[in-house]
Amino acid sequence: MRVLHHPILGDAPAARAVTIHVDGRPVQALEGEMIASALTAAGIKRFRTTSRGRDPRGIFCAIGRCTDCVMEVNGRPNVRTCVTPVEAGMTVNTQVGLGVWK
Amino acid sequence: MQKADVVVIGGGAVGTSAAYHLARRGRKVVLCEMRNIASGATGRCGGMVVHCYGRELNIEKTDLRLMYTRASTRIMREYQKSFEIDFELRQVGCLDIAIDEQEFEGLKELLRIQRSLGDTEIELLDKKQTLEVMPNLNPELIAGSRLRRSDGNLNPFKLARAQALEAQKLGAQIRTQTRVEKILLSGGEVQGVEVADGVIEAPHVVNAANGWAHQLTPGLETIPVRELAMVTERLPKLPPQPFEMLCLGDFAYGATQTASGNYNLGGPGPARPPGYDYYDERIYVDEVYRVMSYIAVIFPKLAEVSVIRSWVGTMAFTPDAMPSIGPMPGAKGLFIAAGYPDGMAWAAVSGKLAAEHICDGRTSLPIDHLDPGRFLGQPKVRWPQPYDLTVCHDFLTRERALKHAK
Amino acid sequence: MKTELAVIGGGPAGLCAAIEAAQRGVEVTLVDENQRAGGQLFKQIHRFFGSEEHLAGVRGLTIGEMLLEDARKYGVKVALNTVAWGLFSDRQIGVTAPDGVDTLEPQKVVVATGAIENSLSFPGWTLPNVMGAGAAQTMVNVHRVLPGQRVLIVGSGNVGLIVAYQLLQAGAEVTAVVEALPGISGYQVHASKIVRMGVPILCRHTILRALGTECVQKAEIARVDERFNPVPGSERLLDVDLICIAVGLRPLAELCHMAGVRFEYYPALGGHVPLHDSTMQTTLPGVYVAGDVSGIEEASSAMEEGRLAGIAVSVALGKVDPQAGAKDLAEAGRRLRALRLGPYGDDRHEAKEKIVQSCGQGAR
Repeated sequence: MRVLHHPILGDAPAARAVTIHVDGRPVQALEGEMIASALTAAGIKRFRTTSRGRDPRGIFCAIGRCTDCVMEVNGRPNVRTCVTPVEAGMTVNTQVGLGVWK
Repeated sequence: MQKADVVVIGGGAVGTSAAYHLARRGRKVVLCEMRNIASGATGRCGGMVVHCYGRELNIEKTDLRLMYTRASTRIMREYQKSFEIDFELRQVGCLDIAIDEQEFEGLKELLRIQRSLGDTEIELLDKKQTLEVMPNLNPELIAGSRLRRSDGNLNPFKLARAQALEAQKLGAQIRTQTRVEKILLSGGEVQGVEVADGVIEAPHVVNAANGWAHQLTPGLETIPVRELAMVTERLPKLPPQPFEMLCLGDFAYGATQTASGNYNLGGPGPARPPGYDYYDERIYVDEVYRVMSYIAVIFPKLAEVSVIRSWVGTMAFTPDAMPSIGPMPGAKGLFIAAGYPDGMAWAAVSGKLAAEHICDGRTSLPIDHLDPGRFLGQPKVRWPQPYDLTVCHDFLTRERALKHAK
Repeated sequence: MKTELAVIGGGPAGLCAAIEAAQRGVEVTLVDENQRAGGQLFKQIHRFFGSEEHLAGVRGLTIGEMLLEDARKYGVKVALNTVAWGLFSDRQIGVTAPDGVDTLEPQKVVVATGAIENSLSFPGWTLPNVMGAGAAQTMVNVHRVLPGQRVLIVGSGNVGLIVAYQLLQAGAEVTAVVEALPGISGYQVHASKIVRMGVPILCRHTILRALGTECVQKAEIARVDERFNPVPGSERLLDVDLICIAVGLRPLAELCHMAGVRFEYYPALGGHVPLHDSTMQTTLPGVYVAGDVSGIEEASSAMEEGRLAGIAVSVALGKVDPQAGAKDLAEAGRRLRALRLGPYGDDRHEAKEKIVQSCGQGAR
């Protein structure tokens, strides 16, 4: 959910909408925001599943330190979505285990 | 004052192997390790198990290498049946890659020698076949390779810890943060060792201190060699082979993918100016770049991969690149097991041979060729300064045939 | 690339170090891996405490803006999106910027890389929407997205209490704050604010597990006894979709460790900390630390430590008259000391005194 009006921060600054593709589906994002933000705003919480247990994982530290939020971005696995900005047309896929290295 | 049957010096793969095999034979063992289990080369290597390391065109040494390392692997497979800790031995094969036609000719010659010894396992692969086995390699760097499918890798931390744990279960005492200052001799006989808080009396001592072994046993010709390594983020399983490669003439290189998916790569430190400290465990930024640039060249796809850690370690060489395993002349009760540049393939059998010698006075495999005294009385080895692994390789293959002390 | 002072980390400590040094004529290069400098300041939408000289009453994000402006004014070279991946024992720094890899060759280094949140493991802790409290704060205050609507906060230290308040401001419902200790860990003023807004702070309570298949759907909490064992029969299920863990921070001091700086363990400061002297210089000559990396405190102490380090570097580089430098160092030291007064600061002050002493004892 986006916080559009905030008592201290004020109104959210206007930003251009861009489309990214998450597991093949188009998702609206805001230019310049982090992939993890766009997904959170779209209600997506599960970003990847683990190698052995196939357990769901998502954001943990949100500052690019813990690597829990990694996904396959434009074909490359292990991308930290909380510190990587979106780009128009980007493909973001749920990473399964260690992903597929293309 | 402590008393023991045997003091083992060194808590790496070889030392813990000796502790285990001796404890198994009912001996009261105290292992002294100056830092922690696997703090030396064991904990800094790639964990590769290579049965026939190197490219020396020497039939005698090749034969011996195969004999000992095969025995070692058989012992490790025995370990797997009963050890509590799984040390991730994966016999996935290992490629030795020739980067140009000249090297490939060398490999062919080496294979001829190996085949003549009855080694049917070793395979020669051309460029196309090599790439089929390991498609992620840079095709421009490959003329061909040799492959031994029973080679592979293991987790060296876990191997050392597994052996140490099993030794402890059998009554061995593992003393870490315990540096041996001196091996005590009197009238040419071992009395024990001196450590910081006193003396440990024992009629037998096993010197398994590899890179530091010669500091405790003067006359032992082992030299320390500094190697760099780095590990990447976890990657999906690439086609499995660990590999060794002599790359661009001055950098002997190896890489392996661990059970957890990280890529572990390493090679010798580039020669540094005079006064080079082979025990310097700090890594320098130019060394990091050097290793990283080789990764990018060898595995073009890994150019974007994150390296999460880099480090340095000290292993040991002997003048003929064969380890020294056996009783030290002039020091009754002192057994040497040191001088391993390829220790993971030898650790298990080394400990067993030490235990056999100490308990039975004889060994199940002949060890006279590995006599630690074989360099005594020879002109002092003049190592080129500074030396690194490739300099060693050149030096060794050009100059040294296997020496016997007799 | 040669530089006089390299500052790693553009948060409050790093910026203050850079500004003090640049003001005194040092050529400064500051690297930060984020798109924007300011560190954690831009998440701090609440007003700071302390005296006027400590910028009391000013919001963190305003302080952040002021510091960035000053850095610009004094000519600090700021390299953003630049990761310092290696600090070597000869002070060289390996960095990766958007246009490639480079080596910084500084005469002096200030490491101001901050901290990372601790985690707490319990069944279900890996479920999506179990995250650090600071993480939730980042998502809300920096990225302006709310990860959940009904929140459980684990831990009643300042981070937990402040984040609870900030989640309320963003429109979420904070179901409860659980604290295992008998009393609230953070400042009373923060606690009172959220209690007034209807948030129960349950002392002597802990989380037993998080439930859900794809993400958090419920949390089970229970009362604990004096030995922190759950009291049977006291279990309760809470209907929450976000669990924020606020159980402390620890320094992100890997670069110091890699370079060979000596560390000691101080629970009062968050765990393993690099040793430093009274001018923030570590056991590795020419390498200084400032801020949370040298021990978990607050933004105000981070700024003062940064100033100390910046002044010390200026003196060491001969940019200022030693007497004037000594005076400025004493002033900064005094301001820092003032921040550690009182019941909440005593433990940290004592730990810092021990660190300086240990550092001075030399090689072990």
